[in-house]
Amino acid sequence: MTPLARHLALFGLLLPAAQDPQQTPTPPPAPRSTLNHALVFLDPAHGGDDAGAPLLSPAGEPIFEKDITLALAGRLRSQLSALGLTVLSTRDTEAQAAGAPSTGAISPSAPTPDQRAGQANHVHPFACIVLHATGTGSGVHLITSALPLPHSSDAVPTLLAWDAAQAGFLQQSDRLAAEISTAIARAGLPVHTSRATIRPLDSLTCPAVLLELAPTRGLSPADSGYQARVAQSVATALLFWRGHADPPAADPAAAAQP
Amino acid sequence: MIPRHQHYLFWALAAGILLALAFLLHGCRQAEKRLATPQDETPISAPISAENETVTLDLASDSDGAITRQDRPLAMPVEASTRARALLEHLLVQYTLPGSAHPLPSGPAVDDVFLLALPLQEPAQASIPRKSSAISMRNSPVYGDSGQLAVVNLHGAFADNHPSGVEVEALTLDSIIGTLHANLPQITQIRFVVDGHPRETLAGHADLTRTYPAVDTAATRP
Ligand SMILES: [Zn+2]
Repeated sequence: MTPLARHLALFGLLLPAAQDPQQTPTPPPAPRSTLNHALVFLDPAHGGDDAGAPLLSPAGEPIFEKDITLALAGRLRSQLSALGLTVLSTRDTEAQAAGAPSTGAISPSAPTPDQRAGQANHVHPFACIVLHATGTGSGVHLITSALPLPHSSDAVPTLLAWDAAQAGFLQQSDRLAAEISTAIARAGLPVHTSRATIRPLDSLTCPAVLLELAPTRGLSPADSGYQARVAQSVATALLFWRGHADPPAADPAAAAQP
Repeated sequence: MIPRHQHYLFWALAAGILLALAFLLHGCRQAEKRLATPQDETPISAPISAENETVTLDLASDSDGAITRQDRPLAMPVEASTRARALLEHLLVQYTLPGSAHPLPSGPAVDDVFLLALPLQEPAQASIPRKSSAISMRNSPVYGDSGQLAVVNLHGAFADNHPSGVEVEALTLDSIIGTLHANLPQITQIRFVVDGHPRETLAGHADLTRTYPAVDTAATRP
């Protein structure tokens, strides 16, 4: 391809964005709804054909991220249930989407990012925790959406894009990340917070934090003891957060739909 | 008495030796002439103008998720898009060096960088299909519509071999974004394509369907 042709091809790829149906502004938000202060939403990332990052087990054997996120979600669910909280998860088995009829066979495809966000946004949880694991970096990475904070004059947005639905909850998400960070640091584990643009984080209409488990001090993210310490810290932080979560001034939950 | 055929063979060999001698002498004279004439110093192609200057690199670190600014002397082309490409190649090569704080596999990383003036104008004569891919590029309603959009065309092998993870992928994008912002302030928005085509993610996580605002990522990742 000549540079000019490639230039024009790129141009052609960029322009259709304006007609993208996902970008169609949704109607003004419905009246303010409340968050369910008994419900935590977990999203163990990947699953099915999407194995996620390749990692090593404590025994040095290959293990995929999708299995680690599922195991971590299971530990977190146990901890939260013991504290009297209800937990909803995007997948409870290797690939099967939660709520899908169980046929005994494992579906080859896990829910898409938009389906995961749709499930979360439907039930108004007081916290959404997206779980990932990686072989790169160190300790626990807590990540919130990189969307720009809405200006104060935008407190009641009249137009809302599916890809920017998290914007209204960003301040709550940052506070939740700070609570979880404090609890993990108290458990003696290295932790740092940052921002990233990753689906479905930007589409979630709940206080949302992405937790990525990375190796630390020779511990693999697949290590059951490491997972248990992280799960206990997150559960403790969520119990505290339960009394502090609030929907934003204008609740985009009712408006943002894929 | 020498047989007749040996006689012929002798004279044929003698003639061959004489011819070889003549060829050698001719070659020597040609070489002498070439050395004697002055070298022609006319350049075959126009030189790429490159001046040594100080550039700023936003370097990522996996251990603490930080981006740190570093100034380096670098011979940079003058033309903006060539400049942007040279800058990013230099940046990403740093990550392939031993002891890198954000190790990435070696190999070509950036094919091209295209700079487009904002707001984008639809090419009137372009006969390119409007939807040439199942993946649509998402809009960016929030980052303004002035300055330039940089489209960074990453090499397929670079994306395929990039380590997989939310933080590690975000650090690579933030490093590229911050470096472009620091050295080419006219760039206000950045998009990424791989081998000239849109792609969902860099290595399974970082969203490549978005337009990123050109910002000081070292300030957002202290
Ligand atoms: Zn992942």
